[in-house]
Amino acid sequence: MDISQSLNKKIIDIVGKDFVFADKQDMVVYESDGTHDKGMPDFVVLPRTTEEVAKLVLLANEFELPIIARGSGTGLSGGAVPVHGGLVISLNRMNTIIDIDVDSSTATVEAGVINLEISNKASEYGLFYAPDPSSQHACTIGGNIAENSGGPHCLAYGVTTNHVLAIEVVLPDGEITWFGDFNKEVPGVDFRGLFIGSEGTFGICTKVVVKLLQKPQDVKTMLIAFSSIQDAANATTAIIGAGIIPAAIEMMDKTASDAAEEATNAGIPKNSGAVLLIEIEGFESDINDQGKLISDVIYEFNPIDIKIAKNDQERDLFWKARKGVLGALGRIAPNYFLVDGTVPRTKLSAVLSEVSTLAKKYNLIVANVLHAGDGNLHPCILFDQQTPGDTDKALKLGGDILKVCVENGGVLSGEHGIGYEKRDYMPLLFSEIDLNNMKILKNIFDPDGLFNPGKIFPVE
Amino acid sequence: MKIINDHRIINTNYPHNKNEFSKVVKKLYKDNQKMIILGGGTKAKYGNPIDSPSHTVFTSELNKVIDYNPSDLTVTVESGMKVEFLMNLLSENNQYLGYILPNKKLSSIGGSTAYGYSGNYRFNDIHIRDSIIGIEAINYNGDFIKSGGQVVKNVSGYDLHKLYIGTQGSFGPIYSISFKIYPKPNYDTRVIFDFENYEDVLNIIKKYLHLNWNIPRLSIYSTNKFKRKLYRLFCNISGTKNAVDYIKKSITKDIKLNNGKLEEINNNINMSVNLDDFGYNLKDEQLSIRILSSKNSDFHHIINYFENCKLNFQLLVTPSIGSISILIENNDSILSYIDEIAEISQLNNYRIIIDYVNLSLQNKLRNKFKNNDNQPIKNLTALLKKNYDPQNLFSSGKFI
Repeated sequence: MDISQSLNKKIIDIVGKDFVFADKQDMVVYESDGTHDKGMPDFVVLPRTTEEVAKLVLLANEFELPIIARGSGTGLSGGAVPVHGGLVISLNRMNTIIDIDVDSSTATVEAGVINLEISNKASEYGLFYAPDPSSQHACTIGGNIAENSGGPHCLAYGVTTNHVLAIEVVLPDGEITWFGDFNKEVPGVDFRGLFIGSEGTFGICTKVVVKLLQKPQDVKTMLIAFSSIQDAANATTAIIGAGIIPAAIEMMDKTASDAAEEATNAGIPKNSGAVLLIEIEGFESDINDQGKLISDVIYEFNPIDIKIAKNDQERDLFWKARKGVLGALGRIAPNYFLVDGTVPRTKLSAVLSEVSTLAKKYNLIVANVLHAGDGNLHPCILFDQQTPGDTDKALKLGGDILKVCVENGGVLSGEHGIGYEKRDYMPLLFSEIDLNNMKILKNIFDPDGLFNPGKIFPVE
Repeated sequence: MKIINDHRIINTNYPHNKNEFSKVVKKLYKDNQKMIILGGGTKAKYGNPIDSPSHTVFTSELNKVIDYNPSDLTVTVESGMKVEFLMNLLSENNQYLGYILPNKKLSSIGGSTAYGYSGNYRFNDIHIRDSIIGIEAINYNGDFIKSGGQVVKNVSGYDLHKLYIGTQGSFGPIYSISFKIYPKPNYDTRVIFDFENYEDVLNIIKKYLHLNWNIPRLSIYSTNKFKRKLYRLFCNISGTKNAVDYIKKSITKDIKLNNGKLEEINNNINMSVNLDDFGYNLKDEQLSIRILSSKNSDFHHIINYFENCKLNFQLLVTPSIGSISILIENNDSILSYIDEIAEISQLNNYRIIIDYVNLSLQNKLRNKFKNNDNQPIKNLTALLKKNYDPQNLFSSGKFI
């Protein structure tokens, strides 16, 4: 029996034969995430319990096999791609909502639970889980922990780390422990905070305690069209500058909004250069006041159309246009490369101008989709990978856009993570000393470097 | 040898700028000298006493604004800046941190970060950990380490800055801190209600605790100085005028249904307790502890205990942060009660933090109120210390 067979047998002993894949055709789907990066795993295994995960980690240690935790594979940085092969631990079977505690407004869930399912379950009690990535119908809470995911409503509510109280993790030595506490005041090193956003390089999160929020009394959703993206960007800066923090301010440029309109018929005017989707929440009287304030502020930027959702159906339609825009862009080009920089809000307009200049330079179409209120840009570079050279051009353009973000005081990733895709750009943002100090942290958690190797750090 | 805030001090240093700060730290470390970093020095009685005489590096001269564009809703400042200065600066632009750090006149931003407590007034339950978006720290070689940034959403590399929040300088000095900030609400009203029964006031709290209404403070005050058993509910309501009016009306109605009595709206000096600084700025004979519960409002046992013992106490329960602050007037008097308080805490899974105690009592209390972290956390913490402070010279013995 060779090593591979022996390992296969040991994995089967832990989880049963139905939950192990070792044939390439069975593992193709685990080769990539939402990016173009690829890597074939040696094994894919679907454990059901934390104890099984811990046993698998010990086994991987014994065989010096890289370990890659995976949720639904919706990530957009190559974070879950097994670039050095190894054991992919897919957490999709660990999908139980263990408890909704209404008194303390918390939910305890397994890491493979789909983000939206938490809100669906919590809605029975008038509660919801705030971070709402666009992929929330598919992405898992464990994946959200790995990437510290955001979403449109994070403008008002904050990102994953602000809503996770505690996590159960399997550490690289196979030990199971909890980081964090129901009480945020507990003193000591904030291991919970260090772990969230560490992209699977410190261990595997298996259970999560999240905070739930009470559903707002009332919601108002506005779809506002402008003649140019600069006007939309400046209007966003002005709204925030005026001290108004809506629940969400999302932006789509002309390319993106035209595609979204074709796909959904949400009512975006054909002649718009960009649209803002603004949502405000609160008491009825309060949101009317806020709505009026927003209307006053944006007036200066010559809006060409303002639509206010008349009912939940129309609200859902506006959001369908925004959340489904990446799919809609498939009408323009078969492939896209999504960039994820964040800049200070006041730099939005300038950075978008530079993105436009770069797109012309590379002769590629860029559709801009933004969590504008947070300064989080998602320039979506459209290309056809069948056209020779296009993929390289798109990747280079993406890199140049990230450089522009950093030059403007921004960062490489707002919510997708560095992963495999952006690791070589890290020196743009961090000095060698900064990176070495991050490596110290990595070595403390994972001295053998088996957890998600090839991610975050640039190739030396 | 000088004594500052109970610390035995070998020498004091006052770096005036970033480079001087780095040079001082580098030289002390190279010379194998223990050091503590002090901002306002107000947290010196928190945590363990330092284990041997140390050099002190004061950050008071490092008090500049590094970057502040109000429209970005972020601010970056040097760590020695006084909390009050930053609050005033933000207030000029109708902005705030979202919480009120205790002892704002004397405390520095760096000290408050190293201490990691955000006070009992908090918009949306924000903790200082949530609002710090970046830190520039100094390592043992005197090099600057950057983590995070000046943007509100960021997943670029590890959040190394989390290491410096609440760890009392154990991993090295902080040079600058970037905060996510918020527009200040147009209105902030305080309403006070009195209750004779703790259950009644708790009913109110439970109802409002998890609503997304802007009630940044919902704290119950009690003391044996009251002539009868009384629970005073302090309630701050913020937001637009319409929102504040709506919430005030709703709470007032519920209070009546739960046997409460409206005592005051807005300022009445006779009724006021300094809630922002509760448990801070104390006299030497006073003692302040905080008890934390994982269940927000579960403090019955400890409240019952204090009501029936003979200690002179004031207590402030803030269920939204699962915390009860207890101020004891004569710290020596607690010695007879330590064992029982420790037992109640252990039985109810409370955690005890000593915020202020004089040196003579410090060790006695710490030994009794030890909080037991699990072994993996102890191991990881020790490894962090070993790697980020290999010679154990930063705040030695203070935290780890």
